[in-house]
Amino acid sequence: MTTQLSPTEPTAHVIVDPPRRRGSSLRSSRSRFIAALVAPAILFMLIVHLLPTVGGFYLSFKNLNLFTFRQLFDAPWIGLGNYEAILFQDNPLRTGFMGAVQNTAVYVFWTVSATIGGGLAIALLMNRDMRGIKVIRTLMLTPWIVPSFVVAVLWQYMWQSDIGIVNKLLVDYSGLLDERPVWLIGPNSLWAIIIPSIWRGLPFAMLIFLAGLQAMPKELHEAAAIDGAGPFKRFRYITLPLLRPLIAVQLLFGVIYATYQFAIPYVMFGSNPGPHADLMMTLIVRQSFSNNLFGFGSAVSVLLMMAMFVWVAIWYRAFKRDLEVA
Amino acid sequence: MSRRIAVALLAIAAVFAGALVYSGCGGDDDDGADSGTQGQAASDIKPGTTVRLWIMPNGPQPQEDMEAALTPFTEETGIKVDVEVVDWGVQLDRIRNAAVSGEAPDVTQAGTTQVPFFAALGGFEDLSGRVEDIGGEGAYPDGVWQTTQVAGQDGVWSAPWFTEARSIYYRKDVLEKAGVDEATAFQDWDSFRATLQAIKDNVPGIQPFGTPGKKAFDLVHHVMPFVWDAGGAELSDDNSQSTINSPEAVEGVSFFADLVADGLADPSQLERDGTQVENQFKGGKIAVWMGGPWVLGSIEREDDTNWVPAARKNVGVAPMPAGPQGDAFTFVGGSNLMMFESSENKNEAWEVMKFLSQDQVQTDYASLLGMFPARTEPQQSYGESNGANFESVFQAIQQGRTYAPIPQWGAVENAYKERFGTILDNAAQGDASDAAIQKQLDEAAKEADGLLAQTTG
Amino acid sequence: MSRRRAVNLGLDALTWLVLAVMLAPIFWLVISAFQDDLELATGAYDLLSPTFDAFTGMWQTIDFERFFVNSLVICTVAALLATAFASSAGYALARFKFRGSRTFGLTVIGTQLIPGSMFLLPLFIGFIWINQNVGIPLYDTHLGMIIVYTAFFTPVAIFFMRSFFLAIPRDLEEAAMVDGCTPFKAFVKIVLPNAAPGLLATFVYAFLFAWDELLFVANLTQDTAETIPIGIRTFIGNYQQRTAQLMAAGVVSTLPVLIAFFATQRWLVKGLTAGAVKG
Repeated sequence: MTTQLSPTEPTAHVIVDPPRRRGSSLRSSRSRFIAALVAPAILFMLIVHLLPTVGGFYLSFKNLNLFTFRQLFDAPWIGLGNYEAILFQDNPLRTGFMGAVQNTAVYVFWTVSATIGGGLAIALLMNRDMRGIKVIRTLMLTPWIVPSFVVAVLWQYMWQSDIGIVNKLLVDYSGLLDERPVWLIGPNSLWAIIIPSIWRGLPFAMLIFLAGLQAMPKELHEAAAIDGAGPFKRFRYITLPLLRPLIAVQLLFGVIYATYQFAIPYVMFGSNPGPHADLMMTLIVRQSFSNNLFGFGSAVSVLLMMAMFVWVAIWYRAFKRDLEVA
Repeated sequence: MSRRIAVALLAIAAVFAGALVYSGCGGDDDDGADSGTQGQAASDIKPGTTVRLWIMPNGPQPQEDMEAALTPFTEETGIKVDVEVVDWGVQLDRIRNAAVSGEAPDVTQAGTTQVPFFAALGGFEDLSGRVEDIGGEGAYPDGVWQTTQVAGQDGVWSAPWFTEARSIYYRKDVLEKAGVDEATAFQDWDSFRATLQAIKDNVPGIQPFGTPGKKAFDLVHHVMPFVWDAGGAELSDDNSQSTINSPEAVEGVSFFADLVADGLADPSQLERDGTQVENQFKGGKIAVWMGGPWVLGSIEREDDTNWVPAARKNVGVAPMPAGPQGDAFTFVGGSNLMMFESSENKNEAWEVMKFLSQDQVQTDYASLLGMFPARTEPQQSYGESNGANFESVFQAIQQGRTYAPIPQWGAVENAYKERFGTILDNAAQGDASDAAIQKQLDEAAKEADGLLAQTTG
Repeated sequence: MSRRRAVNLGLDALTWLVLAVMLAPIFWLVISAFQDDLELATGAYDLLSPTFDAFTGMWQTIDFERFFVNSLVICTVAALLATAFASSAGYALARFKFRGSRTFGLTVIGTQLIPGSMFLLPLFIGFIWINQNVGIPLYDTHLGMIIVYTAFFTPVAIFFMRSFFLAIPRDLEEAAMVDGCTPFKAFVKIVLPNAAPGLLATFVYAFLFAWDELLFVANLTQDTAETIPIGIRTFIGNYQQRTAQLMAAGVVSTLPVLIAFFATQRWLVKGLTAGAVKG
């Protein structure tokens, strides 16, 4: 699921600093109040998010493998050894790394672009008055609700080359194809995870874009129509720019979420999806837990996180005028 | 006041933080205590204790079978056993986490090839002081006893439980229809291929052969015998280097991959895991399959609904085919029992293990599952008294081989499994050339070398 | 005009078609759950003789009740706690511009950038450490998973609640405070009740996320606190090939979130799309 944050910050409902009063009792009691409000959340985030992240960072500098695992944080220090092994040395332990990077890049590209493009298209379709449209809109959200492990199990069954329903439809019932494509092995296996991911992500994108479309003032379209602009021109010059902030946010979280995808390939293929469908997270989990290369796994996680920071920076430069971050 | 509370909470968090990061995590607080106990007096055992036992799915009804087998034990000693079934897919992680965290049962089942890994990991009890109670080394065949040892680490780390060996399973009726003589159908590589070809040509409606792909946890056990037959080996003699990319190994893997590339093995089976392919055999979709003796055990079980009548009545078993040098190796595996160091009921746990190592109990439990007892005598009489199919498996066990008992084996096996899976996938897409196979095996060897080079510091 | 009508009819049909395509896999899931294992294993689907066997059998072949109850308990409690923490923090972010609010907001977003694999081992180690030094068992306990899930899903919930609070005019609190209420009382007695739909929606949102979570429960639980995402895989384990029951379990696993969603969808949708609607 993707998260959502508001692109613009309505300032009407924010209480600004009250005018100075005698003594600072009001101000300090207000501060105490604010502190009390945010304290529990901060506490949890510190203990469960930030501390372990520091811990993970720390472990990436350690030689934590099957022999040293019981020492946990006391395992021997090897500094940048893990990073060198991944990035620079032709180290046997980095097999699969470049493949997973490539697969993840392809996966992210197709999943995010199809989700956003498809979500936008369907939103446009849903933005009409027709009988039953409200029911249709609600029902459309269902794929998003289905838990990702159910999605994986279901599609794994559907993709079976001899008895799965997809091939039955494509070959047996409709005759569209002659040969039964193989989805779960070989190059198609990446598509075997891309397609369910798109299927599951479309409704959410559709929902956001639909809300944006409906919030659009009709006068702009009407004025443009009077001026002679056809539907495509109106879309390109009015709709799209107004939707840009929403697209931007979908893009940001879409890429992050897709890069960190784990459940669908893991449940569908197991810990080793094969050279075509191995994503970064399945690689990390496999190297860490199946091959007991925990220090290595931590180091790859750190690199992945840094890549995401780079992405956020790029995104921010491209889209910062579209939003104010609180 | 709320501010003070908030500050206090944050201060506690900071203390936690510091402690967590800088004190590191100590090893376990329990010292492995009783490993030196030489035998134990009956008074050391407290009736009413509950021993926690982890087992893996050893048959269609693993929980019920195990509990039934242990009922006489509980009646006799008063020790209760809490049995829990842990799936093969997660058992390695679970046992490892249990050993490291100290939150473990008392006894666990482990695959024979996993014992060195767990022993090196730490957290398991050395049984050398107790093992005379069950006859020690002399009571077990050599190959089985080896699975209790770890290269480079003294001690006896597990008690052998049951043994299995892979053989060829085939449909007698299909062979007849194909005009192939059972007695020679699988005697060597050439006749193996010829048999499959004959089935393909003469018996429509059933696939000749099927093997699972990378999803099967035991893929390596199916491919490695062919490597061994060709004269290859998974590691060098001193276990320091991978030799999976030697010409002999390529020959062995190539034979297997060619079965897929030449249409003698059903490519759609590669999408499935071991159990699913087994069920395809039971369901009458494939005529020849490689698997373990548990299948024989399930023929008689009415509750196993995966069998179609034609398959159930016509199962034949043959030893693996002999390779170009005349060897017909097969993988011998099975499971052993290991005791956790953190157990607080070691004496009682050992009673459970002793019970499960008794000749009759071994025979009874093994026959429930279709496995073979691990102990020499019961194993032999079991093989000789249950019919031709069991005799075949017994013969196979005598020709059995297993992998090097090194701690990194699990990870090395994973590396091999991944590449074998890719080789078979490529073969299914039509490419089983030597060059493609060599490339995969070279990568496998490289990764294995890296894993073998892991050190303790 | 007939051309416009034709276009409209065409678009209507297209809309229904798109809906059908999107719902088709779900239909297939349900249909498969009413088949039996042999039919599913061999692809000989028989749509005309549905059977409930899979739905009854699934509770017996594996300990599915335990997974279901664990999921329910852990996700509900975690979602409740996350909503509680998020409502207070979200309120602060919505109403006050305080020093550090920007950093706080950025940190909250930042937590979404960290891959799960970074936390995994340190959390495992932390659980062991706490057990050994403070005596509270967390590994493979409901408590441990609840703590982890609460912490994970609070950040997302914060922004969710914040948008609900932004939509509530501050006049109400201000009036109460003029009357002598402390800000805290105003929050609890005036704002929260008004934000009730938002609270509910946030709860469901956090619950949806928690229900789905796989990576952490795979590594931080063993048997006591195992949840559905891990437990469901044992239908297709060794010696078991209960595809129909797997599908049935999939249906049963989807029902709670489906019900929760459709019961609250009006507010949930409002919360999700709050950012899309300006002002």
